Amino acid sequence: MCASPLEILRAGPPPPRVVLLPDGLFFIRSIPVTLDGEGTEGQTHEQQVSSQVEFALEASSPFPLLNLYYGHFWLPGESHALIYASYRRRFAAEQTDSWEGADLICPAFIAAAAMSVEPATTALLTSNEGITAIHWTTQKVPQKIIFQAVAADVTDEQKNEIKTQLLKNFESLKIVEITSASQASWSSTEGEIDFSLNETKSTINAVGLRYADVRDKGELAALQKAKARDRILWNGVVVAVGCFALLALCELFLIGGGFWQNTRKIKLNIQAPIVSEIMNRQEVANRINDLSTRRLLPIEMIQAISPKKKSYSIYFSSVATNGLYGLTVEAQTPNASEIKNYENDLRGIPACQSVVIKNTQSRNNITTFTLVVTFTPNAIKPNAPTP
Amino acid sequence: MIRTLKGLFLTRALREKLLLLVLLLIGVAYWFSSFLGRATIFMTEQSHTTKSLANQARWIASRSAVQKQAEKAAAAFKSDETLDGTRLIAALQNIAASSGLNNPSINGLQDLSVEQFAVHPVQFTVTKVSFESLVTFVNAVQQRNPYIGIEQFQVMADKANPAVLNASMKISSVEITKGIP
Repeated sequence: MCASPLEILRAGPPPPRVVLLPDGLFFIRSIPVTLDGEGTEGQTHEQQVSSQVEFALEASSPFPLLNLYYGHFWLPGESHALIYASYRRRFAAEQTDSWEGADLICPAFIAAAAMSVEPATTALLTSNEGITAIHWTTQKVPQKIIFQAVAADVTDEQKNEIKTQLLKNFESLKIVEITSASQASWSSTEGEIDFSLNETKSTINAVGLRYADVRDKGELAALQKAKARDRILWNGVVVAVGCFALLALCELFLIGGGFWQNTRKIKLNIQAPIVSEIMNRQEVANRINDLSTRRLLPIEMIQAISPKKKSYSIYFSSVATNGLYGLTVEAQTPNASEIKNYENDLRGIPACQSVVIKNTQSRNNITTFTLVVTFTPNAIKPNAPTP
Repeated sequence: MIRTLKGLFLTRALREKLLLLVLLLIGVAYWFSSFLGRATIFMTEQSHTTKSLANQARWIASRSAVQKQAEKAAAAFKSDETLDGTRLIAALQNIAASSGLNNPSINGLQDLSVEQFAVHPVQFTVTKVSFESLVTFVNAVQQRNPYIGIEQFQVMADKANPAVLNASMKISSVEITKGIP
């Protein structure tokens, strides 16, 4: 039965895929390293050590590096590195096929080599293939590693005898026995792997893992690129999820804003009749004010612009007031030349603020036009009342 | 939990990682687009409501000033001499008859009233009248100012007989139903 999502989350991240190869298949040596200052010639200490490791392997191995699976273990500040190599043909194709996608492939002793131990300690790592003795002197990187193959049918006494023989190779102050297979898990620091060995733990950082891995270095570089690409994809996922969270927050604000807006709309609706009444009152006040203080004088305005004053042959066909001080007149004349003179005469009247003649058209010798006159406020006076 | 999710994600095949990311990005784009539309509508409504409320606040703040303005305008009127709609029509009929305008058409328009104040507009129309009788009528109406006032005036020559005129006016009266307090 499939685990529930909650159980999957509780279980934590899946452990790293670590392939620990039998120590007996590897040629193991400790080589001195000389470091040329920090970062000189554009190379880090790790890169300098890696170069020296490859030189040492090329010098000591009967096979070219291309035919070897090799790696090394070194910690910053240490004066020697542990190198190991194995002829590629020692591994079957089926075995190497299973390595695809693994996070780390290295000899089994690497898990123990990263342990933090006291000076002159020897660790005895028992596996199905044999016993590996790892000896530290004063440095953090083991000085010497010896593997002794053990047949499957040997007794415990015989095993103890082998261990004793192995320990005779070192001057040990402390002996650590590791009987269980190491368990790998991701460290709390990104890219580091923790190994559990009986009661103790060891940790290898991301740089150490890259150089400890025995796979083809080109293949490892491609793997690093793929991991970098995966990290970019993961960052994309994180950003997308962040956007979802942000949008959810914005939705909450929008919902809150909707409630606030509804409250304001209710207030608007409640106030609407009150405001309408005030506006109505304002309009009434304006109308009453207009009726009491301003008078429309249409006859006086018509008489002021009458063309009959100078005997023009211009006739008004319609007149409409436009506000209190405006007149729009539709006029016609059989003599179009009079229109300009008439316009000039109107412009000469002091009460006329503006005179505009437009829509001039001529048909059957009759010219029609629209005259728009605006009078200066209060310039037109009412006629004397008729007795 | 984040480490677990990251671990689970990183152990997936590349196509699964890409598919998940693409689906998430499509989801974000779709949601963002939808949200943007709704947010724009909300902002527009909010802005409109803010303006309307500010406008209402201005009107409410000017309430007493408007009341004073109306009372000041009405102070020029004696309430006994103001005319309601019916009295306005009757008055106009009398003035028209005395001015020689026969059969005027007088139609009441929408009244405007607030509490004790009212404005009664009518549309006054006469056809086939002389300019002189029209002048007499307008002068007579103006005599009744400010109780009766002409607000709009339009006159045109009759198409059949250009010697006579057709006229239409909007005439209003003020009514004060109660005394000014």
